Amino acid sequence: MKYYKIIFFAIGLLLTFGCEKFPVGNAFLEKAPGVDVTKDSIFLKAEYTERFLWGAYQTLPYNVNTANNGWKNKMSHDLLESLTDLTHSYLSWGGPTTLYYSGLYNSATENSSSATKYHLTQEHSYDGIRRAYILIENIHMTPDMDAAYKNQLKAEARMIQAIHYTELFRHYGGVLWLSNSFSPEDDFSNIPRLTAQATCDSIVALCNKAMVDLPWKIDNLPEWDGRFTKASAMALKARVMLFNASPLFNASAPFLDGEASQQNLTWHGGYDANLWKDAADAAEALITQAESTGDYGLFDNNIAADGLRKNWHDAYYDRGTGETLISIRDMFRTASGWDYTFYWSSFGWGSTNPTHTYVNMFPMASGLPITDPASGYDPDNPFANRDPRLYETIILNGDYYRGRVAELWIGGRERRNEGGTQARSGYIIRKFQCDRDGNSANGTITHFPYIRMPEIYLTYAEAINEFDGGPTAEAYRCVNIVRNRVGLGDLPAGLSQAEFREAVLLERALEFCMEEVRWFDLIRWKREDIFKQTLLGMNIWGDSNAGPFTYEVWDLPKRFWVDNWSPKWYLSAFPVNEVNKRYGLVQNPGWE
Amino acid sequence: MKDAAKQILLHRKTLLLYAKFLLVGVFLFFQLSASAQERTITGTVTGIDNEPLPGVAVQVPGTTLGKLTDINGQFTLSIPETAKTLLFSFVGMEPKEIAIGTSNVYNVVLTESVVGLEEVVVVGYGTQKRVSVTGAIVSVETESLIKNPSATVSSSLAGRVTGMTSVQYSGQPGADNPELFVRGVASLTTSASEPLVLVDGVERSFSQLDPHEVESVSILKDASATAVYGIRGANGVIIVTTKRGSEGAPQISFTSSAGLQVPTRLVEMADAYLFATVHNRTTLGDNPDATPVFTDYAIKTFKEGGNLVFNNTDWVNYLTKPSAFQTQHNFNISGGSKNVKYFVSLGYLNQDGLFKTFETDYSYQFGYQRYNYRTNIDLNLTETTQLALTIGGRTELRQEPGSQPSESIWTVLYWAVPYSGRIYEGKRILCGNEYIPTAEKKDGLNAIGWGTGYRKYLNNIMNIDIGVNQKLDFITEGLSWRIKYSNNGTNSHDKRRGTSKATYNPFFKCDVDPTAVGDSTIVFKKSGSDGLLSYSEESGKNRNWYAETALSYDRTFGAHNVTGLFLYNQSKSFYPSSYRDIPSGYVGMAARATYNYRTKYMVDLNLGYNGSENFAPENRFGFFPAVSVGWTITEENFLKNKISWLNFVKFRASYGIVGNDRLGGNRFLYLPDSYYSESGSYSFGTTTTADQLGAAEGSLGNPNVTWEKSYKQNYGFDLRILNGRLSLSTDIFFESRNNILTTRNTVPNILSISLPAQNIGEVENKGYEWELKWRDNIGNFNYNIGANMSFARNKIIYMDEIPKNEPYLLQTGGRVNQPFGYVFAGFWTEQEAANYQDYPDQFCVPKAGDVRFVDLNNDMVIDSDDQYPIGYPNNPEYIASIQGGFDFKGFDFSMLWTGVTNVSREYTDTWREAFSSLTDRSLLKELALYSWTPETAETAKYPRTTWVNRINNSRDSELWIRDASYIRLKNVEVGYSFPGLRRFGISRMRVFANGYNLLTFDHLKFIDPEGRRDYPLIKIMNFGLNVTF
Repeated sequence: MKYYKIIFFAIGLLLTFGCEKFPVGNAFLEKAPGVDVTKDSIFLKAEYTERFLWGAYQTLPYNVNTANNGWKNKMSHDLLESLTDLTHSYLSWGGPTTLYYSGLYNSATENSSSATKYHLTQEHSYDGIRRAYILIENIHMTPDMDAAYKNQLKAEARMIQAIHYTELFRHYGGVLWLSNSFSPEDDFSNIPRLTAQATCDSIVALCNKAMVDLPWKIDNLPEWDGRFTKASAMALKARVMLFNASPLFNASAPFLDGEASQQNLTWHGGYDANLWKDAADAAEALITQAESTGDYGLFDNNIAADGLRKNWHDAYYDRGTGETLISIRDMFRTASGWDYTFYWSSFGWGSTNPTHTYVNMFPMASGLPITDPASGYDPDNPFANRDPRLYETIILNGDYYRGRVAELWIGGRERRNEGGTQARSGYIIRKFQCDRDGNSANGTITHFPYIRMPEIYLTYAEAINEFDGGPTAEAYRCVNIVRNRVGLGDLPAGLSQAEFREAVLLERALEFCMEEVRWFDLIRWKREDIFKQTLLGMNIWGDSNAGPFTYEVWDLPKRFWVDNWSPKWYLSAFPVNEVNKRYGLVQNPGWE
Repeated sequence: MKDAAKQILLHRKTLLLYAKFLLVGVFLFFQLSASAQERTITGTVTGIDNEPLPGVAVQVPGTTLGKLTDINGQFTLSIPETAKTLLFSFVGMEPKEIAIGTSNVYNVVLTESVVGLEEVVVVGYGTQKRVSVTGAIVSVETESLIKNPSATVSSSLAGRVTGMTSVQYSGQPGADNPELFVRGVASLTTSASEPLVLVDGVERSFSQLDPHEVESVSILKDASATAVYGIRGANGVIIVTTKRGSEGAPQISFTSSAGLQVPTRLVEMADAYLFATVHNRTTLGDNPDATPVFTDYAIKTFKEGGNLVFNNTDWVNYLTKPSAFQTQHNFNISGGSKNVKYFVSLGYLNQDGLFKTFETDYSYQFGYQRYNYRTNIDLNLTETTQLALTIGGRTELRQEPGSQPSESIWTVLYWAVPYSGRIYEGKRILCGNEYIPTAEKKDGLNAIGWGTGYRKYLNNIMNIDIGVNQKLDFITEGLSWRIKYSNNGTNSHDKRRGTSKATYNPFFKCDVDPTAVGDSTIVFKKSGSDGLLSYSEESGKNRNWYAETALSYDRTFGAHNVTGLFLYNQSKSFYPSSYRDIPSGYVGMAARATYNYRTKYMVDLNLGYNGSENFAPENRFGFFPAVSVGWTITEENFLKNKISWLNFVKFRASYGIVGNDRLGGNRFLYLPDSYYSESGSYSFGTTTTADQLGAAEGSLGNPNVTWEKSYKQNYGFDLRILNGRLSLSTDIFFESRNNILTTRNTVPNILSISLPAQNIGEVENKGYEWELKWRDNIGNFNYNIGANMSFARNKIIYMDEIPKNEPYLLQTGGRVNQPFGYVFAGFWTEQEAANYQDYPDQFCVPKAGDVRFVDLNNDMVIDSDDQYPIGYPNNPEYIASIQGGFDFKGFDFSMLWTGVTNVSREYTDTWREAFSSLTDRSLLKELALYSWTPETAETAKYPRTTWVNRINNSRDSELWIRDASYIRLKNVEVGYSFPGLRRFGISRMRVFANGYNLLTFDHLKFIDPEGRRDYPLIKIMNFGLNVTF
């Protein structure tokens, strides 16, 4: 029978080509990948449990852009500072230009734009909060870890949540507070916003809870600097309480009417002076313990007077100095200037041009403001003998740069012409960028100083001034500590409450450029006057580095809000898509 | 049909020897049969018009004896005395059987078969007689495919078949495959709507096959046609069948052609003078007191033609050739005896790139070479056993410059500015900021990677199918069993020789040498250095196999025709794109039963039962049934032969359910929640260089996920009248797809959950197709003309969309991929701009010439709530074509026009914004010439160029989402076949010229309506020769 041949042939075929096992039907498909890593396999091993926490640390905000995409590029290669009076941006695709200076920003922009100042959903804030919850909810499973260390990890997770909630609080007011890590099957039809006060209280509660289990300081700094300490928790608490006590929320009237104001989401419903006291107490607690132990304070390596610049540079830039209370990490070392991807102005892109308005804020090296006739300020030689922080914050014409002299006169190498986007304001930023590709910027160990000790001193001084109705000796002492470190003299005595307040805010502006302090100072004090002022630029005319130079001050382009101011700009809009999901999110005033 | 007949070969001894020589090494044996001769019959076969018919098979039924008629329609056949009848058969003609009497001469007249009764079409897992088809299936034959000189065979389908959408975005050699959709897009994304493509029944790509290897392309459209593919049938199926040999003397065919590729349109860029004047005009238009970037000296220099410091380089023309060469050659032999049939083909394609070559020590030119080979052999192992061996493959060689920008070459080339540099005496001149201070100076040499070495890709693809078909008539008549195994392998190799080249920044000597006052000699500052060629390589591989086994049944009981099929298959792919370490697999069963009564009443039942690894074991297998019916009304007694002009009328209807298991390239959609034990790192410490590894949550799973379900209805109608001269085929279809795989949108994003796939989407798709053909002859002048049209429109029924502030903002209810934009209200006039505060707030202080938008919701603010669905998606809703041709005394001519409408293209980047959003990139000549200026306010097509209101003017709007309808002369071919070459052993020699994309009529004018900001689409003018022995 011929068909036997066929069977033999078919068997032959199978033997030839079917060397592999030949399962059929469902068995053929059964080779799904084993999910080799599950929640259990993470939390059943101390090593992976720790790793999970390190993963959560990665969500922390590094506020100088370090990547070309995603959440590490929050303003589309630009910086929050360019919404303040300190710097101005000409970056044609950056967030300041495309959304804020143009007035085009609105709640729909928040749906998908990568150029807004803080994304509700693209930022890894809620991601970090979720990761922290997963750790807190599951660490009990980890067998090879002692209870105290588990509590420390949980405390660190709570700090991660507290930082994210603080950022959300400062950008949006009362936050959407999650109570656990959700799963897709859960009911999330009702996630209401907390009131502003409840948000602050909840963040403080997280800090207080974390403080109990966190070490006061890290013992093994070379290996573990950057983990949260009790001092970190105390510092964050002081920051959030100062923000909460400030007039944006703590006032007799809301900054703008709206449903969110009526529900006390963006206002406390009245003024309460005790909030300043709470902030002062929080700062005082940290200062007292820091000074008594000597573990934290302003970095000062006692170098000679001409080293004041280097000293201050190291204070904000270096790890493990005892000055930075919360240090956020991205890379270990910078590889090149492009590790910071704000498209800065020196190469013509136009981001983050320091304004002449800001340069004018820096006093003389003596501490006297340039407007003081006794200061010795010379408008024809405006960069001489100024606060050392000016030189370390801004690259000035004639200062060192890339192994040579910065040529910021029109026609010079840093500013080819007047109208281009290269150093358009007449200045380039130095802070964080240091020297772009000089030896000081490349290959240095870096971090983002989220909160530094000077802020705590200045917070304490500000809170005392508000609660006590004027500056006390302790308030003066705190401000002078910050000034004396860079060689400036003490503040003049006898300042009024208002004068002292201005002095503290000025000190914060000088100390914390690009550390995301100025924006929040402007909004918490509702400084409409500063938002509406005309910012200044500088044209330096000259033919060579030898000079002579003539200095021409000019008006930078007006931002949309100068002529169209609305207090709505104090807080961000929630993405309209999130509001429209209707789970209880109330839009902020002015953005409805 | 006659055209094809002319290609039939003659039996000639010399050629046979030649063929034998060629076939040695290809075949294990080659068998010629010769039989005993007892009687010689001769005769001539003609058509009703008395034209001799070559290539008609003359057979003695029940024996293996047979001959083909020669070019004059004559035959000579030796038959045994016992033979009773002769059977004459020819494709497209009614077969005729005549009784053999005493005469030895028989002149036979064949009539054209009215319905092409014997014509067979490829259907899922088999073939079916055209006359009994009840589903929606169309096919294209090889003749149409080889008319197209394009390197990509899939580009031949545009307009040739109804129900097929083809969009070609790029003309890049080796990468110009069009996007194909069967009956449009019916899922929520275009990628989930791609049809299943099979070559000889196995999932493979067909774009790079040699068209001479292809017998036909069948497009299965409705549920009855695709139900057998079950879980993968929802998007339609394209089945490509390669050629196989048929019994007869060897046909040797050689085709060679050479042609030129020319871009359909090359975008014109502004030259340096125009660039500089518009740039300055832009600056001054914003602020009359500003200092523009380009000095008077620069502008004057540009006007005079420029120099090495102030370059004026038209990059597109500088770097591209007006045309690029391409050649194609194919050599094939087919034929066979009773027991062995073969088709052997070798093809070669060489396509040059469009870029010019500038001096380097090595060749870096873009190029594409392809060698196609195929050997398809059918062997009768026994009387009832056939073995089919199908070996096909190709070697692709691509050459490119060593490194290219991360964006596409053309995108970057279109960014290049005219004053950035050029090549001068072998040096790459690259200007700095010294003379023209702009942030960025993109040069075209960077775009094409000049001086970066070269890169060679080798891609080897080999497909082997072995199939055995065993007739099981001893069990029951008409039953047969088959088994097939297919192995597909790809090996690729990427060889890179990288290097670098110095750049030279030009200066006037006086500016760098203080002693050379007034010396305007140009000197260069060198940066970088000329490197040596480095070497690196990378290889890749891919392998998959497919196996099927089937029982089929085909039997006629008097007037009842019954067929049946039961099939099992499984396939495995070893290196899939996701979870590369885990092979992916499919397993399925298919069944079909058809019944017809005298081809008058027809019923087909198709079933698919498949499993997909994407779903959990309990949700994995789906059952996909479809039923279709047909009624040939002209077979009814009350009509049959009653109305002489009405030859054939058939009604068809089908309904069925088919599935789709794909969500992008994702696999194992059902997997439970996963975690990563290594995910990122965090740099603790002050001196520790090693970062701490992180761990993180992966994606969440949905164990209940399952396939998309598509419910399809199809109603069709086929008509032939006037003795088959006029035919019409039309279909109307309704598709409703639910359970579409997608992720939910309305979950609060703040939960930070990466959502699993769920079966929630719902899309409706409906449309129609018709095709009209007329063919006739006036004496020797044979002509045909045809027209067809397809329409498909989808509508999103459900996609879990977030509620919107205005109803018109919703995508639900609209088309998939519908673009949205602002409604254009005109350019601000001087007067309007002066009173701009009376108009809705646009968040800018408008000047005359800026774009004004319509405030759709009347809230006096222009914001995203004023966006409206504008235009259409990228793939057209209407596709129509007209084709026609004739042949006359050896001349032949054919052409194909296609047109599409309800399609849009979006201008992006420099197409939309002069100097782009970076303000320092290129300027399109179109924008330079037709942007608003006070002088051209009445006629301007585009807004004024501005830095200040750039964002406003470039918002998505009707200005930038444009109607991309077009009418295109897709294909034209003229040929001439030389007569009287038989004495040289040549049965046919034909010279031809054909073209592709020759003419285009559209609204976009300055860019191709199909392409994007990428490699330009090309037209091809091609000349060739075909010789058949």
